[in-house]
Amino acid sequence: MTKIDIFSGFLGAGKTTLIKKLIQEAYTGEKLVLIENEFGEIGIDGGFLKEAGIEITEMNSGCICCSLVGDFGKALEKVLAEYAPDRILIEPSGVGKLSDVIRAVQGVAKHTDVALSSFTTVADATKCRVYSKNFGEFYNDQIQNAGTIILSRTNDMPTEKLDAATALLRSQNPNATLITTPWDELEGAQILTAMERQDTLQSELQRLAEEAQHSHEHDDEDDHEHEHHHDHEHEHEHEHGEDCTCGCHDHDEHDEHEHHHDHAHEQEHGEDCTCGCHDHDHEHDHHHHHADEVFSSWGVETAHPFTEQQITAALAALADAVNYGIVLRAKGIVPAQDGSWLHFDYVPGESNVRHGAADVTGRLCVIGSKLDNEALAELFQLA
Amino acid sequence: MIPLYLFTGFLDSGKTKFIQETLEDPRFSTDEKTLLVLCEEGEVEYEPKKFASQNVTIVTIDSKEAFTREYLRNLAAKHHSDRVLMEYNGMWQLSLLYENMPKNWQMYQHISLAAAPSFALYNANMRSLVIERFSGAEMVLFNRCNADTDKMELHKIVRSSNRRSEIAYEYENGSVDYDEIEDPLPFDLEADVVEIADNDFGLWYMDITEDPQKYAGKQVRFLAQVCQTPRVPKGAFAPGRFVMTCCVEDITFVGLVCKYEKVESLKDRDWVTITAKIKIEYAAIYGGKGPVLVASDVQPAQKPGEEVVYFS
Repeated sequence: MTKIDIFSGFLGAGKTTLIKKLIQEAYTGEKLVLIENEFGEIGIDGGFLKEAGIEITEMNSGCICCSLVGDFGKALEKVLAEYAPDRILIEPSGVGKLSDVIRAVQGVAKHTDVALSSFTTVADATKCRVYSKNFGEFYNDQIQNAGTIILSRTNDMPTEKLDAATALLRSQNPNATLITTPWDELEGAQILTAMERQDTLQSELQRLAEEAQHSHEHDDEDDHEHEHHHDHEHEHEHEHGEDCTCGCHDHDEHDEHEHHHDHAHEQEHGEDCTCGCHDHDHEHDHHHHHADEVFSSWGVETAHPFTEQQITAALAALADAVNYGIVLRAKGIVPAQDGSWLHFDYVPGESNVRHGAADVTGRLCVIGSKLDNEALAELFQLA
Repeated sequence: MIPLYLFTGFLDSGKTKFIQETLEDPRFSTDEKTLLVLCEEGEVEYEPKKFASQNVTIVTIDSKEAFTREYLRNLAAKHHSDRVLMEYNGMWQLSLLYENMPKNWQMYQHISLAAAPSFALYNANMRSLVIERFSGAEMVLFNRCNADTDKMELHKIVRSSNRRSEIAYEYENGSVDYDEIEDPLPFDLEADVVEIADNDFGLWYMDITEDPQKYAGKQVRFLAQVCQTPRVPKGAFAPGRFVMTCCVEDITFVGLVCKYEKVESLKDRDWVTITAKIKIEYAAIYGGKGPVLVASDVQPAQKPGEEVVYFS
C-alpha cells in the first residue's frame, strides 16, 4: 500500500518548505517519490532532495493554461511501477484546483494499491484575504477541498489579523484541521498527524465525552461497587498494559483514570462483571448513544493567544452552572501571549494550568450537560 | 478620443502604489476629469485626498461579467471623463479588455508592473498571462529589486515577448535603474541575403512583426513548414513554424504571407527552405500593412531536430 499526500497551495505559499520539513522530521525511513507539477520552487532544493535519496518526477504541465488531469493518472502509475514507494508526495500546480488532483488520485486508487492519506493546502496567512477575493475559483477550491489547511507566515502576524484569516478560512471550510502555529515551533510529526487527521477536534470531544461518561456513571454507582473498584485499583495497578484497547480510559491521563480500567478484567471477570468500566461491544455502542443524549460538548480550535490568568479565571468560572451549564470536564492547549503554550485541565473542584509543548493550533474542549455554547465562547473571549 | 492609461501586473505587483504616486504628481494632472477604474482589490488602498487634482472619480469593477463595452462607455460618459486610468485585474486575460474597449477610447499608455522577488515563479507558472501583458506594454517596471535580483533573467523574460518596451528596475531603497542591455540580433541584417538560423525563427518572427520597416526590401532565407490556408490571398501560402510560448498545451502555428509562383506545388506541412524578398503591403490576415514575402526560390528541406521553436 502506497500512501499519497497532496500539498496544494498558491505559488509562494511555502509548499516546498513544508515538504522539506516533513522529509527531515516526519518521513524518515520511508521510501519517497515527489511528483512535481509546479514550475520553479523545488529547483532550489533539488540538491537536498537528491541527497535525501528522494526521487523527483516532474510533470511538464501545470501552468495556468494547461489542464492537468489527463496525464496525472499516468504519472502516478508510472511512479508506482518504477519505484514502488512507501509514499508519494504530490505538489500540484499552485494555480490549479485541488479537487482535480484529488479526483485524479481517486481514479488511480480504484485499480491500484494506493491510499489517499492526506490532502493539504498551504495558505499564506498574510495573503488569504486578498487572494480569496481576487483569485476566486482555483484558490477557493484549494481551501474548500482541503482536509487540512496549514497556514504559513503566522509568526509576526497581529492577533486580530490572524483571527480574521482563520475566520475567513473557517467560513469556507468548517471541517478542515487548521494549523496556525508557526512551523518552527512544531515537530514535523505533529504536522503529519494533523494532516492525516488522526487527532481532530471531533475525535477529541468524543474521547472526552466517553471519559466523562464513565466518571459520571461511577458517581451514580452505589458505595459498594465503588469500593469494589478501588479494590481493583490496588490489585491490578501494575498489570495495566499500554496496549489495552478497552476504550474506556484515557492513555494520556494515567493518574486520574487508571482506577477505571483494569486489564485483569478480561481474564478474571467474565460476562457478569458489573463494574461498568470495561467495554463489551454492545455496551460500547450503548455508551456512545448514551453520551450523545446526556452530554453536550463545546469545542473550538483557535490561534487566539491567552494569558495564564485568563485561563485560570475562566476555569474558576466554569463551576457556575447557571451561566455555563454543568461542566464535567474541560481540557485544552492554547498559545500564550508570551509565545509559550498553556495546557489546562478541569474537573469539578480541581483545575490545573501549566506550560507545555506547542500544538498545531490552540484547542479548547468542554464536556458537560446543558452547556451554553455562547456563554462559553464569551467566557474564553472567542465570541 | 478618450485616452486610456492601462496598468497591469499580478496581485501585489505595486499597481496601486504606482497609480497613487502618478496621481499625486502635479505634472500629471491639470484640470481634466479623470476616471480611475479598479478591477482588483489589493492590499493597498487609495488615498484620494493626496491626489494632485480632486477631479478623480474612482469606480470598482469586481467581476469579469460586469466588464462590458457598454458599461465602460457609459461610465466614462456619465462622469464626463477626459481620460481613464485602469488598474487591471492580474488574473484577467488582456483579451477581455481588447474585446470590450469602447470605440471612443484609445490605448494611450500601457505600463506593466512586477514584483521582482516573486516574478520568476509567477512567470514560470502563469506564463501566458505574462506574455500577453508584456507584449503590449510600453514600459515594464520591476519593483522591490534587491541584491538578489537577476536583471538579465528579467530582461530576457521581457524581451522574449517584446523587443522594444522600456524596462526599469526599482530598488527597495527607491533608486531606479533603466535597462540598457542591448539585444543584438543573431543574424546580419546588412548581408545580401539575411540568413535566419533554424532556432532563431521565433526571434526573427517577433522582430519582423514588431518592426516590419526594418526589413523592407531585404532578402531573407529561412526554414519553415508550408501552411496552405484560404486566409491568405490566391497565389500565396503561409510559411511558418509551430511555437511554444508556455507549455505543450499552447503550441501554435505562426507564419507570414508569402507569394510564390508555384504555390500549388507545395504540400501542406512540408518542410522547405525559402528565399524571399520582403515588401510592406496590405494583407487582410494582418488587419493592415505588414511584411509580405515574395519567394524567389523554395527548396524541399529536412525536418529539423526540434520541430517546435520558442520566442526566446
